This record gives sequence, structure tokens and C-alpha cells, in this order.
Amino acid sequence: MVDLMNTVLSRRSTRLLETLMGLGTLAAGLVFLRIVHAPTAPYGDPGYIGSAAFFPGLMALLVAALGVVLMLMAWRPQPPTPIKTGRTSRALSAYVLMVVVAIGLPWLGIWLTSMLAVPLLALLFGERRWYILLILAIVPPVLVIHLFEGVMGIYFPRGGWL
Amino acid sequence: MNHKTLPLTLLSASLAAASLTAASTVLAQESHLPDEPIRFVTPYPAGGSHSLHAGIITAVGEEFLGRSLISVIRGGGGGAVAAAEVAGSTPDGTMLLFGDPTINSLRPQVEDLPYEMDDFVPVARINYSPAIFVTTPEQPFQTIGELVEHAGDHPDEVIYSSDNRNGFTYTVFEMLKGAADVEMRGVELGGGGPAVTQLLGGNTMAYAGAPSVVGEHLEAGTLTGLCVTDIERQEAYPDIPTCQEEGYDVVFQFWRGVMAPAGTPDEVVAELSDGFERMTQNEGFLRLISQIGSDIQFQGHEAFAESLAAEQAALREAYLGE
Amino acid sequence: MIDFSILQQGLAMLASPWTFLALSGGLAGGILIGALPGLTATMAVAVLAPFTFFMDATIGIPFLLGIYKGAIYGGSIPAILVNTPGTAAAAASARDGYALTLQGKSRKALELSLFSSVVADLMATLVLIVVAIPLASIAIRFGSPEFALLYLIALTMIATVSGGNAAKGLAAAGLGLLVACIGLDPMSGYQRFTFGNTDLLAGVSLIPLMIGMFALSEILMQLTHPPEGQQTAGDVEHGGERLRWAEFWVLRPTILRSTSLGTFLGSLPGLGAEIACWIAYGLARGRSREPERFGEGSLEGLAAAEAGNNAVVPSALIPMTVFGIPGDTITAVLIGALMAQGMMPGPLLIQQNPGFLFGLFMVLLVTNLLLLVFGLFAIRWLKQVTRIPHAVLYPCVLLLCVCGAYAVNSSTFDLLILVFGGGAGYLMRRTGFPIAPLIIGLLLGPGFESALRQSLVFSNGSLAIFWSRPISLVLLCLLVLVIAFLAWRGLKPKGATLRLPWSRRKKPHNANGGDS
Repeated sequence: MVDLMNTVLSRRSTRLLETLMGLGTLAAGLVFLRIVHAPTAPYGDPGYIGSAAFFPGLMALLVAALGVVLMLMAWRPQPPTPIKTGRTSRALSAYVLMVVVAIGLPWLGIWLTSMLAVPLLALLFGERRWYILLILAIVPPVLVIHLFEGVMGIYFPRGGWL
Repeated sequence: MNHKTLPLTLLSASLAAASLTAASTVLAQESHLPDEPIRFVTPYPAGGSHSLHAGIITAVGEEFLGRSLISVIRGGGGGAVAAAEVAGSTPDGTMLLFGDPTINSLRPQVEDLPYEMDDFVPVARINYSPAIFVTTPEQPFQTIGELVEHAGDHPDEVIYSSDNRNGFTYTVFEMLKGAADVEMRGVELGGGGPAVTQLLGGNTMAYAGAPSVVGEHLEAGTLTGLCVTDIERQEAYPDIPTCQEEGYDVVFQFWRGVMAPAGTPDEVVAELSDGFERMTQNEGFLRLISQIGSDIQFQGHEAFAESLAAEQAALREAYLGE
Repeated sequence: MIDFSILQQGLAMLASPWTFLALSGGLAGGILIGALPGLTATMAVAVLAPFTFFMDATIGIPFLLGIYKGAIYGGSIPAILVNTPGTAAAAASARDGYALTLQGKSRKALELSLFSSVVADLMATLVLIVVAIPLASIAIRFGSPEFALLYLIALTMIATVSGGNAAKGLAAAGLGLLVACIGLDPMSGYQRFTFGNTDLLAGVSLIPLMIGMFALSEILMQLTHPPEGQQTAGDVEHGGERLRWAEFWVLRPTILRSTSLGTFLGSLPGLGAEIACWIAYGLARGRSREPERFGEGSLEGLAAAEAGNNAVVPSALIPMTVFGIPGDTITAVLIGALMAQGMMPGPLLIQQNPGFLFGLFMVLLVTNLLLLVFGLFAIRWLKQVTRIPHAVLYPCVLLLCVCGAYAVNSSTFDLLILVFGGGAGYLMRRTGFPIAPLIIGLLLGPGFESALRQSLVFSNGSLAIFWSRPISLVLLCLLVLVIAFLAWRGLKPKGATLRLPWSRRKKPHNANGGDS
């Protein structure tokens, strides 16, 4: 575990990852470029500076070009800056938790979501004492939700199940 | 901790004092509204006159509607995002849109938006304001007739401050251009603030905006009023003629009104309409509204439905020639 | 010229205990609101403004001003402590502020941020009082062509926050500019890149995306690389040492520059603190003797960003008091609140109610001193935040982020943007892409595009408008100078460190979460 923390990815994987990032940038640029330059020219003439299509078209072109540059740079003779490894799997589980919170909140309501998400994230951070987790499930949600609803008059979704 | 509660205490104390002075109102004996708060959706970002009106309505509305009102500020897409959300909500009176002519009459007809004009039923019109065409004293034209003449002699050279495509200012200028058959160029500056700035700074030559935006400059003499897009002159500016008086048939009343999603039961619409009517007759409410430089031209749901249908037809004719 | 009764009237307003109480309450509440991610100064003022309609003007308006100032300052607190800018204006402060926290110097960072804020605010308030009218008459001559050039100058700041890899920085900025194009185009009415999604009509909301990119990615980074732990155990005095006077004193040119810049930008209607902080930061880095320390915990960088964004607050009141034009969205709400009190801000207020205006200026000055007191008091407790175990701190940060992102627009779609931002931010930080250029692109893109297109409507399509107007000609020369300077500066170190061309800058600390 500790070894995992301070090592770096192998040169090959670093290059692969950098290439993928370049490819992603290129793809994003191409998608937008394609929309702007669709046969119907949905936002007007991309060639005229004053049109609604010029600026997005220019930016899409820039992004696509930079995507190519990034891909090429990943394969320069000098090795790219190494990427540190770490407990990526743990971060991924936390990210899954975040996605579930974002998607589930409208259905589960703010109370249930927050009372589950806060102790679960604490669990991922290594907290194992049950009483701490219990306090975390109750105190922060009550404080934060009342703060937002009371002071700022924001009304969070209560969820469909109530 | 004690610091945090301080503003709250202050607020609640002043609120309580305000509601005490307001006349107590008898609630409808039998309510058709579901027993939950009403979400009152403002379709523009915080800070505009819409959100100011909504702030007052939601602050005092509870005692007239029998339900607490929650102000939801949901800007974006020039109001289209909030309108689409309200149009798709459960039609039981728990979610209301604070609409206006561009959202409810004009844009659904001329743009491809994710909602239709018929997705809403009118509940109550709160008030309206006309636009006043203005210019600066330095410009070569000082009446609407001279503006039209100047534009006719110099086609496409008169540059005016506009707001957004199919916005309030944009629409009245389109109407003027159509009525007078002249060409002028509008710069879409996104709102009243930048529009007036550019006019005062000499970058543009004309503008048309609500009295709350241009009023002070008219009084101070930094702007000259040309004409009003109403059917009669404004009480506060008796010297400014209506556009009709000057021979240009430009009438546009920018109303603010409450809209419910289509399918809301008639008795709920009627109950809400009555509630808003009682509210607009309340002295405390009227005092607050007058403080933000606005007033009340209330229309109940039936009268509002008629005037709205007429406006939608007029805009369809003006824009689409049908 | 000066009427004694006016002074008396103004001072009487201050003497009232209620005014003082409202001011303090607003200030404390504002700091709290600003410190909560997603709750912005604009929102706080807009939501609370209707309540002030019920209050007396001498209570309601100071209350709102207190909230306004407190919220702008408060945004820097979570930026420094947990790399979560409470407001968009604090994004630049997160860079060096959080890097200082990682080095165990959170107390120093918090104190520096407070002092720079107060000093900048004080100087800008004096500018407002003394030269509001001449400054405003210059500012109002700025039309769309001048704004377009100003935005372009601001965009060159991307180069200064790109860190070691220029291509990655540019790509991030390009993506930000591209994302900024999403939504309904107000000038043409086209629905650009909405992919048929209704919520995207409003565009990608900046604040949820920013919170996601900074805060959620920070949580994920902390899980990936937990701190070694020796730091938390050994420190006796928590938060590290305090700011020494000498350290602050050497920063005076930086603070002065940032303040003048922020004051000027604030006086232009439409440019806010979000933009001023980045330009001030870039300027400070350009003038610095040790630009390589920027982003690694430079005191100069933090002071520049904080002075820049706080100087905007008083000067945004300049267009309001002189012309009755809102300088930004917050002053738009303030104008509404003033109108509700029967006072039309603008040329008439100076003539009709000079006593109130003078009182208002006095309130602004007093707010500053109060901010200093409140801030010092808050720092005593805030430096303890670093003592909270991560397992407790970060779950609470997540909760605040989710609530804050939802609160911006009461939109559940914004939660998806938040999480998307978190994922993208994490990926970018792991692979050495800087986040700051993306945020700058997102911030400046819409303003630049509309100013450019508006200019072309003015000129009927001719680009000559950018050099035919005197002010725009000056700005164009300035732009050329800035680019030349950046190019010269960028070329110089290349020769010095030729041996290690692929990692010119020191070893990347990004992996540890230091870079933003």
C-alpha cells in the first residue's frame, strides 16, 4: 500500500494516458466543429466574425488542434512528466458515491441522501468508529440544510417517497 | 453563532411588524390547493425588476393565498429554462411562473423552444409598464418624428441599444421599424444597465426601456423622452406623447403576471386569482410596490386571458404576418 | 462648498446603534454566506433585499452593504483552507492560499488575505469618495470595442496560470471557452450546442462546475494521496506562525497595483471581481521577481488576488452613485433596495440627499474596520479547521458543495454539472492539466464573444473600429505590449534550464493537490 503511494506510472502507461487525454481533447473539438460546420450551418456562417458560429468554430478548431499537439507531445523522445500513482480505486468509489448523490437526490430527497452520503464518504476516508459515523449522519445534514433553507430560503427536493 | 442569528432576528422582527400593520384577511373557507408551499418561479437571474417584484410577492403572499410562497429564482435561456420547467410540473397550483410577454406570447411563436404558448393558463396580471423611447440631448433628433426622418435619410446609420433578441427593447424597436418603414441597427447588449450606459457614453443613439430604468435620467435631463408605447400618456411624464399620438402604431405593454401550467383545475386558478387580487388591494403591499417605482394594474384570470389572447394574436400578426 | 449639515446628517447615521448593529450583523452573515460554496454575494443580497424594504433606510442599506462586503471577503476562507472557493471571485486565491495551507501556513494565508482585502477596500473606498465623478466619466466612454480588447488582455492571463505545460494550459482554456458557448445565444437567439437538452439552454452554470472542479476533485485527490500524517501530529501551534509585518510591508507595491487595477475594472459597468482577481494575479506574476513561486504558495500571488477582487467592491458603486447604472449584478440589487427606500441612486441622489450619500460613504469606511475586527476574530477559530480529521472535514465539504450547487439555480441539473466538474477536475489534476485556465476561459468567453460581435454591429462589420477609437487604440497597444512581454518572459527561462526542457518548472506538485 505504502509503496503504491510514491511510485509513478511506467513510461508506457504515462504515454498511453497522455495520448488518451489528447484524443479526448481532439474528440471534443471535433464534435463541436462538426456541429458548427453542419451542412445547414445551424448558427450562421462560421466564416464571418460577427456571426454566432464564428467564435465557437474558432475555439473548436483550436481545441482540436491542441488535441493533436497533446497526442504528439506524449510521444516525444524525452519521456513525459511521470504521473504519480495512488489509491485510485478508492477515489473511484468516492466518485461513484458522488454520482449516485447527484442522480439520486431528486428522488431520494435531501435528507436521506445527505444522511447516507456523509457517513459513507467518511467510511471511505477510513473512519471506522460507529459513533462518529452516526454523529456525521445527523449533525452536518441538520445544520447545513437548516442553514440553507432558513437563511437563504432555498427549498431542497424532499424526494418522491415521502 | 450569535452573530449569525442576528440578521435573522432583525429580519423576522421587521417582517412581523410589517405583517401586523397589514389588514388581516379572511381566507377562503374551502381551499382547492394542495397542502404544500407554492413555488413561485422567477425566470430571470436575481437582481432584475422581476426578482424584486417576486421578492415582495413571496414575502407577503402567504396571508392572502393561505399557503406559504417560496421564491425560486431560476434564470437562464432568457426565461426559457424556468418556463419549460413550470410547463412540465404537476398542474395543481403548487408551481407558478412569474411570466411576461416575451416568455408567454412572443418567443414561443417565433423560436423553437422546449415549451408552447398553450402550456400555460393565465392566473393573474400583476402590472405592466410601457417602454419609453429615449435619446440623449446631443443627438440630431429630439422627437420620434425626427428620429424616423433621420433614420429615413440615413438608412442603417442610426444605432440603438437593444437588450436581447426578441426581448422587450428589441420588440418595440422592431415594431417601430415596421410601423415607420425605416432601417436602424440594434446592438444586443443583454440588459437595461449596459444599454443605458452605452447610450449615455455616446456609443449608441437611442434606446427604449421601462420607466424604472430611464425615469431618473428623464428627470435629470440626461435623456430625452421621445414617445411611450402605451395607449395613454404616463402620469409621471405628461410631456411625453404616446407613439400613437405621433402617428406610429406602436403599443407594447410589458406585463408581469402569474401563469400556471396548463391543466390546472379551473377552481384552483380562480382561487389563486382571487388571492392575488386581495393581495394587490392590500395597503401594505401597495406601499411596497410603489417603493420600487412600480404600481398595480391587476387583471383577474378571465380578463387576463382575454388580453393575453389579443396580445398573442397581435404579435403573431406583427411577426409572422398571419 | 461642503455643507456642515450634510456632514452632521451623515455622521448621525453612523452614531445610531441600530445602523451599527445592522452593519455588524450583515457583515457576519455575509462572511458566513460567502464562505459557503455556491452561496454568492449576489444571491445573498438579492434574497435579503426584499426584507430591507420593511426597514428604515439607515438600517436596511448598511445591512446589505455589510452582507456584500462580508460575502466577497468570506469567499477566500474556504478557498485557502480546503481549496474550495466560496465564490467565483476567490478562485485565484485558492491557488496560492491553499498551497500555503498545505505547507502548514494557513494562519499566515488567512491573515494576509484579510489584510490585503481590508487595505485594498479602504483605498478603493477613498477613490470612490474623492474621484468618483471623473473616473465614472472616463469609464462610461468604454464601449463594446474597448470591452472586447480588455477581455482579450484578460485572456492572455491564461499564459500566466498554465504552469509548466503551455499546451495543456491552452487546451484547458480552449475547452473552457468552448463550454462557455453552450446555451442560448442572446444576440442571435440560436440554441447552441444544447444537444436537445432544455437545461443546457441556460448554459453550463459556472458556479456548480467550478465547485466541482476545485472542491470535489480535491476530495478525490485527498483519497488518492492521503497526507503522510507526521504534520498533523507534531504541530504544537496549529495553523503555523502568524504573518510578520515585514512580510506584509514588502508586498505594498503588489497590493497597490492590484488595488488600482481592481478599482479601475470595478468602475467599468459589467466587469466584476471574478475577472479582476485573475488579471491582478497575472499582473503580479508578470512583475514579480520570483514568478516561479506563483501557484506554490506565493504571498505575492495571494495578496494580489485578494486585493484585486476586494477593490472591485467599492468601485462597483461608482457607476451606481454617479449615473445610477449598476456596475454589476449586486449593485443592480442594491439600486433596487435604494429605490425601495425612496432614494434613486444616480445624479439626483447627490443633489437631493447628499447627507445620506455621505453617511453611506462613512458606513463603507466603518465596514472595513469592522471587517478587520471580525476577520481577526474568525481566524482564531478558522485556523483550527486544519485540525479537523479528514474523515470528518471532507464529508462535510461534500455536503456543502451539493447544497451550494443546488442553491445557485434551484436546479437538480446543476448537481450533474457539479459531479461532471468533479470528475473532469480529478482527471485533469492527475494528468497535469491546470484547472485555472479552464475557469478563466469559462468566465471570459461569453463576455469576449458578445463584446466582439457588438463591436462589429457598431462598425457595420469593419474591424477598423478596434483602432479608430482613441481608447481602443491605447488598449490595443497595451495588448501588444502584454503579449510581447509574455513572449519575452516565456522565452528567457528556456535557455537557462535547457537541460530539462520537458519539465522546466520544478517537479509538479499538482499530484499533491497544490495546483489549481
